[in-house]
Amino acid sequence: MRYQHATRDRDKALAESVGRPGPITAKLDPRLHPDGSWWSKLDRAQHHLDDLYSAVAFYTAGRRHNVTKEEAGDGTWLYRVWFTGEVDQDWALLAGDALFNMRAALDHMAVALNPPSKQDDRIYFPIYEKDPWRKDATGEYIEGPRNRRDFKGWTSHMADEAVAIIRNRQPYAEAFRTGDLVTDHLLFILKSFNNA
Amino acid sequence: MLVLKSGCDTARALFIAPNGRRWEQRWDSGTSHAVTDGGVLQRLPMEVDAHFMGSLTVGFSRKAGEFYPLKALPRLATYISETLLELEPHIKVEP
Repeated sequence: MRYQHATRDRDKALAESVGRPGPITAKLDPRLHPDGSWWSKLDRAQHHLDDLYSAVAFYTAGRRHNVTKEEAGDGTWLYRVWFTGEVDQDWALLAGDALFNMRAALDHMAVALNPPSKQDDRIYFPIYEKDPWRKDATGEYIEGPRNRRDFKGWTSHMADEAVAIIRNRQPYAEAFRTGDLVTDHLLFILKSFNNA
Repeated sequence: MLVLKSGCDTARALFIAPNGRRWEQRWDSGTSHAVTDGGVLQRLPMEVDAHFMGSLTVGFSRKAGEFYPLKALPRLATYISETLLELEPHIKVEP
């Protein structure tokens, strides 16, 4: 690939400029099951991310863009970034591959959390932006039954602690605790991209 | 062409694809991961040239029609890693 010619120094400079993290933290932390397929999937995602940022570094080094600045007249500045070269279409493929493997890492973990006799390929890691168990003033569920049914099917044989962690990690739950927008939640972003 | 417009507390990105399709994204102070986590808004006025590729490079969800900063991707990987680490002790191994 063309961007493989990007130098290590240039990659490093870009990484610093965008706040790119180092290796995924789990590589530094003890993995209880280092051969687990969920880690293989996540490591593959990291590989695609490395390729993606190398591609961005290569593009940036070629400086195929110009920036102009002008006063917008309403007290703001208007910056126009003019692309003089096409953005490499590989970016979308690399990002897509990374996202696919991240999603798969969660799904593989969801399967592993079930006892072997209950594992099958219809188990997924649930990601909900709305609380499936929320009720209205009359005690009726606000959301339809599908997500509750799926959640039960995917988690009913898991340890209670695992189910609690998964519920705790749901976008709607974390957004409720933090006051952030549910659409800003990382798992919501993952779901949005993966279902796109 | 990517148009960035920055004011006191908002930033706006308008992407015009070669085929003429347009998408727009606003970042309001404190409401977007792009702003709260990356300081993108603060960087835009002064360092847009140096940082736009890295900080404002966007992914595009074709279905949702929305932009997300690619910067979210490594944070997402880290978040998933932390989730996996938290869940691993609860993997059931049947006797």
